[in-house]
Order: sequence, then structure tokens, then C-alpha cells
Amino acid sequence: MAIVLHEIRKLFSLKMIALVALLNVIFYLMYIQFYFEHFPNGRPDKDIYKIVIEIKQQYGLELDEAEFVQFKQTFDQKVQEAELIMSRDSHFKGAGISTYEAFRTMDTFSGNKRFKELNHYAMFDPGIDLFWELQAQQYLIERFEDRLERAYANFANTDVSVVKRVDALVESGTLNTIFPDTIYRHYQSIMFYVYSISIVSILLIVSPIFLRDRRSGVIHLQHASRIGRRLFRSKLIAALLSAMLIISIQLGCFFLLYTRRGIALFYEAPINSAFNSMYFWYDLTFAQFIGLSVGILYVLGLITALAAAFFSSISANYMALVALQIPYIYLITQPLSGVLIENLIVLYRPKYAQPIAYGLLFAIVAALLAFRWRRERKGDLLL
Amino acid sequence: MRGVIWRYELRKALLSPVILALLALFIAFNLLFIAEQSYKRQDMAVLNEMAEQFGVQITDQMQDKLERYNQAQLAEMNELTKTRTGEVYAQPGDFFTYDHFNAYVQEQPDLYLDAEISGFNRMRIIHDYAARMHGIAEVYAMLDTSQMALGQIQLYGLSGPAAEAVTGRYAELDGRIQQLVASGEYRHLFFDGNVYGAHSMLFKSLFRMLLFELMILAVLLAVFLSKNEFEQHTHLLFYAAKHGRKLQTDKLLAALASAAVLTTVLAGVTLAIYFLTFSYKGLWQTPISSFFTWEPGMFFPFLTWRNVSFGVYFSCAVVLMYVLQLLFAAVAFVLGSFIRNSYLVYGSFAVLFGSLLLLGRLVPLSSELIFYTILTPFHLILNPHIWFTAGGAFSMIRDWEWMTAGGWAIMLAILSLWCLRQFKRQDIH
Repeated sequence: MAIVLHEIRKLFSLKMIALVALLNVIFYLMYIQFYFEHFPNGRPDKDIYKIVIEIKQQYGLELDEAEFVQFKQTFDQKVQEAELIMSRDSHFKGAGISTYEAFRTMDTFSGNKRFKELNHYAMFDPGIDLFWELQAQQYLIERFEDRLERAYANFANTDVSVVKRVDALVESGTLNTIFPDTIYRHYQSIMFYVYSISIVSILLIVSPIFLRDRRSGVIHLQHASRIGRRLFRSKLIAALLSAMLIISIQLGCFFLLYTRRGIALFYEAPINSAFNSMYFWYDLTFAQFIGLSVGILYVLGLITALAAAFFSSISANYMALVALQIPYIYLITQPLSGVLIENLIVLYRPKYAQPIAYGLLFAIVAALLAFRWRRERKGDLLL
Repeated sequence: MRGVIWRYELRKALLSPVILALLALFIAFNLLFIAEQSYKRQDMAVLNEMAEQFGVQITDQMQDKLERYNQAQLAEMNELTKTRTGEVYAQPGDFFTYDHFNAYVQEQPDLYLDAEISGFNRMRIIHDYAARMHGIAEVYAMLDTSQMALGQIQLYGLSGPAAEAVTGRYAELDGRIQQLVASGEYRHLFFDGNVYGAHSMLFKSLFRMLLFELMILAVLLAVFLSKNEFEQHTHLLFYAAKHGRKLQTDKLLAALASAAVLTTVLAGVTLAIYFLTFSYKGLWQTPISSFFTWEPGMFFPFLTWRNVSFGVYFSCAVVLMYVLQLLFAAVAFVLGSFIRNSYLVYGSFAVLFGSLLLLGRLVPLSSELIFYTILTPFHLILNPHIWFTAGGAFSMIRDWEWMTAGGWAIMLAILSLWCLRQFKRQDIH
């Protein structure tokens, strides 16, 4: 154990910590900060989110039939109020629009300049939120009304197990809940960046683990010492523990920022909902979903640590090491990111997409390391 | 002696298996991208025939000739279709509407020969080009640069002198547009940007891929060369030899030369395959500012500050690509002179890249200085498709590409010389 601790200490040299911290800060400023500063991002997301919060406060996480009827009534009331305002407003009078329906369906591309100006006035003049909110509420009403048909329509041509799952979703009534799409997409985007930077950080810190000792010649002493070639395994343990440490720090920082966004309202909301744009294989609440993605990040962190150890053990120099890291980062963050993190347990992908993907990834890395360990046990040191 | 050592260093760099493997990987990756795009090649090739038959310049005479040709072709097509199905078409595109194509082609595969269908498709494409030519003059007349300037100022939240600068530059752009309209430079045929996005395919996707791949190779090699003796523990021997510390100069030269060689190989293979896949025959003289480089989401077609033909533009882009790779190699080399551990040099190159991209955030949005924070090679490789073109608040400094490349080249030359001199005097452990 003492050896493992020493190995970990060697990985976290002051210069490496400084380098990785700097990279994290840069990455945060470039990609993640935006999502924290702009949530919900723009219209109509902002208005939809606002209305969903109102629903939550008034009716709770689930809307039953009676509550939905009431919700529709509040919409009609708001329309009436709006029409009252419209009847007094000179802009509306000028364009000859007196009902909300007429305003909504007016063709701003028809070339009628008055319509265009009115639309600009009502929608883009700062200070008038009314029409955005009406539009958002109407959108939510429509989403809620066709929630069951939509679920089937989205998966019309897929195989039986998916349709069965849709049946189960409809029967369980989870589609009467209100978890908003805004939060899901926001979390999804932000998670992708957290995933990317944690992979980069782990790779950078863990990668020198074998190479450094080999380059400096310490390896001759190590192999001649009592622990000998078994040190290989101690180093692997050190790599795994370091990865856990790095990812814990990063996730800690991330959730410190994330929980301040006031999303706690929806922790208990099921992610299969009327207002979400995705359907999932499992009935999870948002808090459970967060837990799942955190677990998955740890798994990927461990796989990455093993991959880094493998790269380190076969590289002759730092150029080779970096040359191996770059394709790995590309592979994980570009073509594989969809299945590995962005579309967790979504109904569009096969039910076991993630277990298979992670299983394969782990199997490949483990096989390579096992092969390496066999060589290490017998191999000549004169590299 | 110098010549020999220099060449050994170069050989060591270029023949290293790591570099060769990466090079092969990158070539495969680029070819995959071209293969993915190659579904457009048949349709795009129609323009080469048009260019040959009618010329690339759009004149009234040419449009008449094209119109007559189209009418004749359409009559021929209608004659054929009338005997087969009894249908006639007002324009060839009608044949390809979803329902119609389903009914007569998908469900009755024996009705038309493949060659006939591809003939119809060819006519449809020529018709589309002819239709797009109508009224292109009005599009330029409707461009309002002061409105665009306002839009840009709002988009970035600029104020004060910075906003004034944008307004001023857009006024300059207005002059350029007037000149463009007067000279008729935009009246040239090119691959329809709306349909094929050829400019972005080549200069945005492919060039950016190349630039990043080459940057990776150049940096890997420059650091490898400059640090190799220390890593191999041969520094005490080599730097004590007669040639001694002059070796470091050879290494810098080898790093620059290998960046150039790698650029030649990787870009050469990739671009050769690109031009074999997509023929630009007859289009090398077309100005980039042609109306047809207009791609979705743009206010106006790509617009170069001068009248630049595709051939010249492409050559300039290639030259700039070479210069940028030399700059990256030099940056890595200079960083290597300050930092001992080569692994940390790679890391600090990444940090430098990121922090220079963020530099603009430190400057207030009212200061004109903000436009000068993008004069770095790192900004240059992000958007190669807007090189030499106008439009957008941050690409309005005329010739900023060459200013950046030149300025950095001078700066890095001085820094490298200084580092080499320092190296001659410093202690080596």
C-alpha cells in the first residue's frame, strides 16, 4: 500500500497539478461557463421553463385530468387579459388584430409590413413577455394533450421491445409528469463537457506512470528490488485510485456550481415525462439519472486510467505517448460520445447500448494490459 | 558537417514510427471524410460540363444560350416521357417530386433506363442553375451594410470606439460591394453553395482538419527533436562534442523542414484525392466572390477584399497553411527552450492555445483593442474558410491573415535566435 501511495504522489507533481488545473480553468471558461450563465438559454426556453415551474408550484410534479383542465382555464384567462391589453394598444389596432388567435396565426412573411412590425413589437420589444408566455403555455398544453400519441408516433417503425416499453410508459402514467426538456438538454450538454475534460485530465496525469521511471532508469532498481516486476500491478492500482481522485474533485466542483442553478425543484421528477423530448428505457427520477451519469463517469474514468497506463507502458518516449493520447481523446469525445454519455438509456438506442459499449471498451483495455503484463513478467529490460 | 547532421536530424524525425503511424491515420481519416462527401460528385460534375459549354461568366448572351439549350432539352425529355407515360413536364424538377418519382421510378423500375433518369437529373441541375441566375443583381442591391454593422454590434455587445470601428469597416465593405456590382465580378458560375456547400467543404472542413492534424505533427516533432538528447541521456556527450551546442540550431532547422515536408505529404495526398474526386475543371478562374458561393446562414456570398479567383485563393490558402505549420513548430521549439520536461511542453502548448483564444475576454467590449486580440495563428486555424474574406465584426481587418503570419514569424524568429543564443551559454545537467 505504501508503494501505491508513493506512486500516486509521483503522479501528482506540483507542475502537473498546475498544468491540469490551468487546462481545466480554460476549458471551463471556453465551454462550460456559458451553460451556467445562460440557463435557461434564450426564448422560448426561458418562458417554457418559467411556466413549468409555475405548474410545479401549483399542481406538483404530476398533472391529473382535473388539474390539466384547470391549467387550460388559466390559459384562457390569460388570453382574455391579453386581448384586453391588445384592444387598448395602438400597435395592435393599427394592424387590425384584436384576438390572440388572429395574432398567433397572422402571416408575418406575407409582405404585410404592419404584421411584421407588430410581430417585432410584441415579441422582441424588451419588457413584453406576455406573448412569449402565452406561446409557451400553449405549447405545453399541446405537448400534454398529445403526449400519448406522440410516444407511439416517435417509435412507429421500431421493434417490438421498444413498443412494449412505450406501452409500459403509457400505462404507468409517468407521462403525466412535468419534468421539462430544458433541464434535460442543459444537463446533457454540460455533462458532455464534464466528461471530456475529465478524460483529458486523467489521461494527462496518469500517463507518465510507467514512462517516467523507464526514462529515468529507476526501473532497473525497481525490478531488482523485492517487489520486482509485481510493481506493475501496484502502479495499475495507483493509476485507478488517481483517476477516482481526479474525477471526484472535478465532479465535486461541477455539482457545487450545478446545484446552485435552482434545479432542486425537479430532483424527484421522473425523467419520462410529458414535457421531455426523450424517452428512456428505465423509470428514473432526475436525481437517479444524475446518479447514473456520475456512476458512468467513474467507470469511464477507470477505463481511461487503464488506457493511460497501457499507453504509458508501451511508449518509448513522450512523443509516442502524446501521439497515442490524441486519437484516444478524439475517439471518446467525437464518434463515441453519443453512446457513451450523451444518450444514456434513451429509447432510440438498444436497451443494452451502454453496458455493451462500456463492456467492450473495458475488455479491450483489459486485454491489452493483460498482454502487457505477460510481457512485463518475462520481458527484457534493455528497451 | 552541418549539412550532414541537419539531415540526420530530419531523418530521425520523419522516419520515426510514431510519426509515420499518425500520418497514415490522418490520411485515412481525411480520405474517409472525402468518401463521405463523394455522393455529391456526380451532381457537382454537371457544372464542369456547363462551364465548358457556356463559359463561367454570366452574360445576357450566355443566359440566352442556356435558356435555348434548356428548352430544347426539355422538349426532348417531354417527347420521351410522353411516349412512355403520357406525362409532360413544365420543368425537369417536376419529374423528381417525391410522389411522382415514387410512382414512375420506384414502383416501375423498368419504365426508364438509368441513363435516362440521370439525363433528367442533369437537366434538373442545369435548370436550377439557370433559375438561380435570374435576379442575382437585386440581391446585391438589397444588401444593407449599415444594418449588418448594427447586427454585429448587437451580437457581440460592442460599444464606444469598438462599435465605431465596426461601423467604419462596414462602410468600407459597402464600397467593396459597389465595386463588385460595378465590375460584375459576382456574375460567375460556381458550385451552388446552397446545395453543395463546396467552399465550406474544402476550406472549412477539409482545411481545418488538415491544419489541426499538421499542427499536432509539427508540435510533436519540434518538441521531440529539441528534447531528444536530454531524454536519451546523450546530451552530455553531444553538446560536449566539437559541433556542440550548434546542434540545437540544426534541430530547429530540422523541425521546420520536417513541418514543411509533413505538410507537403499530408496536404498533398489529401488535396490530390479531393481534386480527383471533385473536378474543378473550368472553374479555377471563377472569382471566390461569385454569387454562387452563397451558403445557407450567410448574409451574402463569400466576398474577398480583392478580385481573387478560386485558383489564386486556393494557392494563398496553401501558402498560409505552410507558414502556419512553421509557426507552430517554432512556437513549440521556443516553449521547449524554457521548459525542461518534454511532456510539460506539450501540455503548455495546449494551455497557450487555449489562453490565447480567451485573450479577447480580458479586453473590454468598448475597446478597439478587442479586434487585435484575434491576430494569433490559433485563431487563424479555427476558421480557414473566412481567410481573405470580409464579413463579421472580427474578420474585417483587411489582410489580417498575412499580418498575423508575418508578425508572428518575425517575433518567433527573434525569440528562436535568442533561445539558441541562451542555449549556448546555459548549464547543461
